[in-house]
Amino acid sequence: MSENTSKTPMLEVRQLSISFGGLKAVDGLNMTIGKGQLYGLIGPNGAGKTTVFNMLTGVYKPTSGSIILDGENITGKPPAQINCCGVARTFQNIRLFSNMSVLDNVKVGLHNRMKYSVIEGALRLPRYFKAEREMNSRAEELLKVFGLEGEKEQLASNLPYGKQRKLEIARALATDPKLLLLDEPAAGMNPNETASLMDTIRFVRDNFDMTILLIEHDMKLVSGICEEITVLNFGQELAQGVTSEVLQNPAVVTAYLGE
Amino acid sequence: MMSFITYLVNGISLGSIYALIALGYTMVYGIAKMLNFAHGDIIMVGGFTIFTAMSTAWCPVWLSVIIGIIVCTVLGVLVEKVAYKPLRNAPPLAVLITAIGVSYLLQNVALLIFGSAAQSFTSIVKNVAPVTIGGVTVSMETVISIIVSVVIMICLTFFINKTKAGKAMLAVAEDKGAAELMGINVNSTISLTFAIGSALAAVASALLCSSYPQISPYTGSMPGIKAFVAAVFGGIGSIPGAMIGGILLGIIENLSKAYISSQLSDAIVFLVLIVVLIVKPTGIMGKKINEKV
Repeated sequence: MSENTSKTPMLEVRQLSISFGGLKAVDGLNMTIGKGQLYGLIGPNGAGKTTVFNMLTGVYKPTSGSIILDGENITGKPPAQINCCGVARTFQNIRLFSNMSVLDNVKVGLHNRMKYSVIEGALRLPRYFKAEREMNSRAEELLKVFGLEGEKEQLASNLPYGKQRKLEIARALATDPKLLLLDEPAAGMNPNETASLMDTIRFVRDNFDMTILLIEHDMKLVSGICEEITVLNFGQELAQGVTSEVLQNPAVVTAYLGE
Repeated sequence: MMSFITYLVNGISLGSIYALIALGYTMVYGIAKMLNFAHGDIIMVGGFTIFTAMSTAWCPVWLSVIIGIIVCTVLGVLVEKVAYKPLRNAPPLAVLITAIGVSYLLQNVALLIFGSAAQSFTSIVKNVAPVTIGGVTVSMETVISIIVSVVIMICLTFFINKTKAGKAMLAVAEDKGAAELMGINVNSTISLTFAIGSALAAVASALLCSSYPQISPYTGSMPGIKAFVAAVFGGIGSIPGAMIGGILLGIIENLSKAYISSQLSDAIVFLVLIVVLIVKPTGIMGKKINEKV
């Protein structure tokens, strides 16, 4: 099914570029990710991968080019709005709300999915209780998926590293995205943790009907789960296509290992 | 002994008013990472609004206080939108100076309208006899201040920890960028924080002007600065810290007025600030910040 690129795209990136002063951090990137695809974005350090994520989520405004999510142009929208359109992400260096409980972290993700006003919350009107109950059960469901239900009252900062990574994914999923961006999910993990992470990512794609774009340095993970990849080098596309073929491309091997 | 308890109760009362004001400082600092030095002058505006409303014959006390709360809330949000929001990404010093500018602006507008002379404020609980509990007599203002402040602090704690909007505030305070990427509207969350802080300042103004029945354009500056000391004392950015810091500061001020010297009481309050900054720079409830290198 990975070869089937003709299916409807979830994300279309056209000629995406951004410059910081004189530096072209990303230059004319094109990328099409089909619905339900697991797509990888790889490249050496400083290639501009996280910059691409920052443009996709609205943290940076692209200098030129366009980003189409599920037929909707989201180029240059502010981050909160892009999240509401359906893009959620995790971070290279974990950015949980570390002084809040595990459950509350997920509930922050549910912020826009459950509607009740500030006044209803302050006065504890019936809608407040109804929405809070729904939020709690939805958050607990998500925690159960990631095996975190036993730690829901703990502070996020007290979780072990691997579980913090999982909690970040749970929090991102709470915002009910169409496209999930994972920024180096396996960073700092040992081979066993990486293997279980790969299962988790596949599980999320299959059970949440998710399209996933991930940045990763761990080639075992990339070749294990990504159907297609794009290789970035110095902000430009070096290669693109089916994972196993791209990874044998001599230009890619050179970029990674040097001459 | 009885007089000690009276001083203590009065101190707690004054302290709970400081705590209400300190909450505004600490919440705004937590979320917008700025010191809103115009916060004290919001109290003054609240005082004058209630004063003006009460001096019109038809306006009952409760309505005057509500008008004061509404005016302060709107003013607080407006100040944030007009003066601070354009400086969201400016260096902290620029924001600090703007806040001082807003403070002077509010004081001078009040000077233009009401003149510089202090006017006498009618207590919101006038003609109510003092209460005597177990041989200790305290004024009704004192009792009301303590009750109102405690109720507000409980409600606020509940609001912040148990509602969606409150959690959004905590999330923005911790990591603005990550909160935004989770779909939280940072601008409206900051507005809400200013609204709550200013509404608390309005309540504080009603209590303060009743306990010390005078109002002038400079009424807000001293309580404002003391509440700032209370917020730093408790650990700026921490909500329980502001409550504890405020109440402790009120007690320290009142006891030093009673047993040391009423002239020196302000000096002692600021001495406390200096000692806290030397001994525990993060305040009572403040967290140690580990800078990543």
